[in-house]
Amino acid sequence: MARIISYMNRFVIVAAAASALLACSAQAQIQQVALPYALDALEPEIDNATMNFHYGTHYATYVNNTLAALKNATDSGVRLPVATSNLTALISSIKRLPSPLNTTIRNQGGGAWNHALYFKHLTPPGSPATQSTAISAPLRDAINANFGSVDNMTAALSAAAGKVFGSGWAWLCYTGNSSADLAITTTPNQDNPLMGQLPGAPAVSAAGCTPILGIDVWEHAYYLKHGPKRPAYLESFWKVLNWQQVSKNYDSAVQGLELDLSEAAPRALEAPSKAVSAGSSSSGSAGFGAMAAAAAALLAVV
Amino acid sequence: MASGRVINLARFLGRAAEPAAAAQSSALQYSTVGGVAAYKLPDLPYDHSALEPVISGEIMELHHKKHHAAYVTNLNKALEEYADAESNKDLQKMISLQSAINFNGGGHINHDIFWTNLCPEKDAAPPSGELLAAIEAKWGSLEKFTATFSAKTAAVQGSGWGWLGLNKETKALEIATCANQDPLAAKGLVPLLGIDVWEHAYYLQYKNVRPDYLKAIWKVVNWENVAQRYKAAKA
Repeated sequence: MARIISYMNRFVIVAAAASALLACSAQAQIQQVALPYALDALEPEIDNATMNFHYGTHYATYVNNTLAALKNATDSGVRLPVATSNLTALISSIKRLPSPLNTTIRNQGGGAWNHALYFKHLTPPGSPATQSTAISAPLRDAINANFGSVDNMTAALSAAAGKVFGSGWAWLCYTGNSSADLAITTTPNQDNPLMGQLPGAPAVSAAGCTPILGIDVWEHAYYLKHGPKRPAYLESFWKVLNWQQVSKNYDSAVQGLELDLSEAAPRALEAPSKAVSAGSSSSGSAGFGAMAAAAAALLAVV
Repeated sequence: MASGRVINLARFLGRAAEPAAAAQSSALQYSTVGGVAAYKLPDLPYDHSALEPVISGEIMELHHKKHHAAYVTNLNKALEEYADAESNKDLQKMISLQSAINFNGGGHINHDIFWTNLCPEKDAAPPSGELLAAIEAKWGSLEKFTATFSAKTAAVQGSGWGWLGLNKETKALEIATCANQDPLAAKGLVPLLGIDVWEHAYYLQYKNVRPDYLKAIWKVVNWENVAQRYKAAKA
């Protein structure tokens, strides 16, 4: 009986993925963010070799491991409080995920989310988006109100990034707190402020805030080019930061929308109580990437 | 003896002064410069290129002369500031220096052990005698031990270490992992063999394939050193 049900579940998943593929307009599963620049386009600030490994291997592995864990969970009939296609919702709801999925989503899903934000807000050095003139007026006002100036903020964020001991990230976050709506915080490993204050984890200042700018300080982010010299990497980072994207991230955060970590248009945060199975999400991008992902989902479940 | 400013590093790291931990850290070399104790970066017992092809000379140079050296420098700086704060009765400052002492002190202790745990491949021999017997009693065989150790160590999230340690209470061997530079002594184990899995330990050569590094490193483990530590820990 269980086998018949599981076969039927597979049929449903396959049918859902097939219709997603045919529809060509659904984002059936989490995928890597598509880069609007070539992997060598950030030279000389971030080298081609690092981009190849960082985007092509590290980030890809986080995404694949996340997908595998979610597939395992849904195949085993685990009911999740959020859609498996919604990485932001999974990260934000991590305390409500069952064990051991919660640990895998923390480490692998966190990795997938963090690297999506990171790669999406990089851009070739010298491009207009890297100039501080590309900062939107609302974001500039918020930065000035919270830190005095853009230079003060970048110095403070670099300092925080320099102090991270071991692997982790430094973040500029939107707190939603009208008197101080931007904050700088750091998290270890692939933790993310959206996860909130996790039990047993070191205290995260501004836990629960929404990152709009993230600096990866795992050694793999810089070691091939800079060896141990993290400060040199941090200097390069600011030369390839896409302030337009950071401004968009701020704008989304202020409006309570999920950050656009794909080519999809931002969508409102899903109601957390809806339990949705894989492959049935609404809205999404109509890009080649989405079709490829849907095809991969189809191949993965049969 | 310096003017009372020599600080026992093991006690410093906030743990009860376990005899083994104290013995470990008192084995760390230091000199007194102008009355203040300063820990010293130890020399490697072999050339930087001696662990090739398992660990490249480039990695060994950076790891020893940059990473470990930085832990020593930053440790000494933090200890000096701590001594000043202590003499000024500035408790707030003393507390604020704790994490720098933990990180850098742990880094110094761990790497000091690590360099001695390794040797050129041609000088490496598998464990024998009491140590081998204890390993076989616990894990069945050396191969099962190394496989278990490698699997647990590969699974360390982010930066950290895999350890073979001796439980002082039970006198049993145990495998444990620690995050960042947290010293193994905090888990009640005497460190016998440590494998560094911070990315700087392997990335230039093995990239993200930590399991390959963990498979290869067994060729350069100095089991004689591990056996000496085992004997001393049991005493």
